[in-house]
Amino acid sequence: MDDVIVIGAGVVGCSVARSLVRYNLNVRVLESGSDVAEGASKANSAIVHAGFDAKPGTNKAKFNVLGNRMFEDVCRELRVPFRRNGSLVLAFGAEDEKTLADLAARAAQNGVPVEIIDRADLHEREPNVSPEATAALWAPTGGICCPYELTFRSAENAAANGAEFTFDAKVSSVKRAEDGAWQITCADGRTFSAKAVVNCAGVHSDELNNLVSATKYNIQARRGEYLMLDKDEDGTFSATMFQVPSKMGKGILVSPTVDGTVIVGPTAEDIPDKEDCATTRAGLEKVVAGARRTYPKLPLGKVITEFSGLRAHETTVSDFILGEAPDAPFFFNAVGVESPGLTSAPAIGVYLADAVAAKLGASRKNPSLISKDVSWWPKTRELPPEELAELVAREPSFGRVVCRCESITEGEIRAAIRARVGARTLDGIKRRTRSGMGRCQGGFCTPRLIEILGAELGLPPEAFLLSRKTAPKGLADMSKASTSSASSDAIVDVLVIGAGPAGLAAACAAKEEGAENVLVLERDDAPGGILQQCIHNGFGLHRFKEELTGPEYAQRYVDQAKALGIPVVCGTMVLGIEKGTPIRVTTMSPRGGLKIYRTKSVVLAMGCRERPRGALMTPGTRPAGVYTAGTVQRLVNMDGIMPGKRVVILGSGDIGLIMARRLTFSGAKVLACIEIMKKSSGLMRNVVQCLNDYDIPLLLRHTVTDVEGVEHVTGVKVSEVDDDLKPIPGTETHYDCDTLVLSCGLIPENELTRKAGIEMDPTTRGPKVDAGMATSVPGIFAGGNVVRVYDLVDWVSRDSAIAGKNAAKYASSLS
Amino acid sequence: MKMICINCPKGCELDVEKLADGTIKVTGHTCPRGEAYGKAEFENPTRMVTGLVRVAGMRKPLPVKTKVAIPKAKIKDVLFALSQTTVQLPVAIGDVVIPAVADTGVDIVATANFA
Repeated sequence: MDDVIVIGAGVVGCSVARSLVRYNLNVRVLESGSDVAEGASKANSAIVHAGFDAKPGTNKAKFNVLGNRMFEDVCRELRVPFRRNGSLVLAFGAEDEKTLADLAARAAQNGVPVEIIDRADLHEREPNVSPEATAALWAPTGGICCPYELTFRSAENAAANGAEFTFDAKVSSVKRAEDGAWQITCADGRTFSAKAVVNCAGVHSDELNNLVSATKYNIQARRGEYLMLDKDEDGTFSATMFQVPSKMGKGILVSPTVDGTVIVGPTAEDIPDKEDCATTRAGLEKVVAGARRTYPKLPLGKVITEFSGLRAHETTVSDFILGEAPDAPFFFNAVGVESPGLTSAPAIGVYLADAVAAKLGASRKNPSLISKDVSWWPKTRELPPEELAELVAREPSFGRVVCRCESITEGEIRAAIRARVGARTLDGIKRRTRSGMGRCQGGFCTPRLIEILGAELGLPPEAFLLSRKTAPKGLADMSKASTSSASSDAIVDVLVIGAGPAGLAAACAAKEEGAENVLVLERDDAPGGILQQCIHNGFGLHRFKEELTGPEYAQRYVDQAKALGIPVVCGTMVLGIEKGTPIRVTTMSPRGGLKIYRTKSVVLAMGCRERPRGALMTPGTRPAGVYTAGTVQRLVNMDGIMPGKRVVILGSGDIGLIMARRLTFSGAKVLACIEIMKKSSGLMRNVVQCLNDYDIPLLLRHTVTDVEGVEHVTGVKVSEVDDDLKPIPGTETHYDCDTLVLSCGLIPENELTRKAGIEMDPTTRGPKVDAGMATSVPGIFAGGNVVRVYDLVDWVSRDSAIAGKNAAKYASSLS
Repeated sequence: MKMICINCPKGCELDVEKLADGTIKVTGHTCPRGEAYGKAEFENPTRMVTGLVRVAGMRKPLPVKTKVAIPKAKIKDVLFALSQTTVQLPVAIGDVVIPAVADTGVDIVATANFA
């Protein structure tokens, strides 16, 4: 028997557990999901509210203010990012300004410092705010944090002090046993008993309370939909931007996040199903419309994902219900903890733990015996170069970047799996490390993540649905071509970043132009770039006057680079480019650790990436089984994994068309290819030979209006669209499918380009270049899909060779 | 017969007809390859087939292709032959993986170097 069982491993449950282990108590946490933070804690605004909004005298007001004050300490102890960026509540006109005055009065009663600022002051602080905003309430104590990191670090610290976590444990009954203890039975038949129970079950907390108490509560799930925008280098807003609140909630906010992205939302919609985290077209449109009041220039092209979360709104008292149930001794509640629940969680944790300990007569542990461990691992992207070098020397896996968008290394991913309450799923890794949370939303790293998960957990491939036994090796002799390495002491003439066709063509052209010291850096284990997975034919008609497959085309350039004696260093990630003479290029690799190259010129040739689902704003649930076409191409062609049997393809980009044929060849049934525009965005030849040849219907002027399935995709709804690309009611058809493949275009990879301070072209979303492929920074040239997305690799090689040639000329002009 | 040439990304729209004298006339093409394609597609449509075969002891499959285009009607048979094949390492680009696949007289060759 345990002393205390906490039901629910959200931020509240984990905070309670972390506070409980400070007493001499055996603590167990039961969670119905397979990980911590699976409910509201994973999908909320990530705001640490100042506390001006809650009605004075309520638990919401009290714990908001208490919790807010604790955040610095808690986040420092747990090593969780937190920033007091302050909050602004915007007024749009006289009516709203009256509400601001009311809020200011409320703030005073709650003991929260605020100040009303006028239009001029507001626009000075936040130049991107709508000109319609007339005044604002400024709350300097408002902040932002990472809710899942707060949750899992709290869990780690609780576990480090003895708390046991039991997952997939959905509680079905709570009864008082004869000895007075609580007897808990789970849906799968497992039973647990404890002297005291703390109910932190979020949207289900009413059901648990109602099992044991005559005081009945009722939780209404109130869904909030959000959009997440890509990293915001320009710092669009410094504070969290609220609008004056309504009865349903705090309205649509626009806020920076601690990760540098921008969050927009939420809606507030009461829904019957307490598990329904689908997004809807109507909801997302509401978010966009609401956010545009604050931020008229909201760039929809920067949306990387959308999601929804459920608030646990209690309808009988509309407040947090905290403490022992009056008629059920030793049963403690945290019922109705909705916003400001995240802010309040640390304070609720302390309050409930103290109450439970007092009831059980438990003594406090000697503080020196309380572990401060939070299973912390270094975030390589935040380490100073010397520390990173030391770390990689000690543990090379911290030098191997898996997630390109967020620069997350294999070492971090392994640490997240090996933690006490470790990741067991792709989502678990994502929330603990941010791997897959960036712009491509897992397009590149998913195949690597399932490989690492399988290896770490010693599970058969079936356990992950998608897995593989053998790590993909590069095309074997390509790796052999790339063993020599340039000395970091010698100044390189032309340093090329990327060993795809663009990079290799640039390197060869530079060498032929007379550059002596040419070096190619490649993050993958083998050169060839994306062509390695493009096993279809159709490449090289212009360049080589014959029709080649992707790997054959790549090999031509690999051979040429080898013949010219150009070293290609693989497994090396470029972290940064510092302009100057020479230009300094900082790199990391598992073997070489941190290395800085000095070079006279640089050619950027990192290629492009696919637009993820989020960029398409497809509503519905977020089940497994939705992949970009390039991810499917990698899985099928390089990893020998078939993602599904019945496939719908959204978008008619070339990779999608090619994959329609490939999946058909590999035994899948491709039901349809859905294109919102009037014509295919791919080449006609691909429509003919990939769709028409195999009788796969191409539905033009159609789009996917809903994705169905909770764990895995079970179907999609498809509707015709009108001239404004809006779905036409009544035209909906349903497809039973297990896989949705997205083929909606490519965008240049631009993290490094931006970091180097290069002027960008808003249309191509790559660097601005002149006719000689020179960027705005002297000595830095660019070629291939990193500049703009090409239809044909022959033109990539041609233009990139120009970049290489001019880089060589530039280098020689310096000597 | 109207068709779209698949030789290159231009995707020319071809019109192909059989004249009274039995010769085939192609219009709409913009290069000699297009004309040849139109004629072939009219009389005996062919396709290059690219695919994958298993490699002994590896999960990663080997990419392969038909050395030249094969009759469209034979694609299924070629795919079946690929699915029945396992190659041993090492393999180099151009190595014959299946000689004269599915009675087409065309070899299946490797398109990548695996050691």
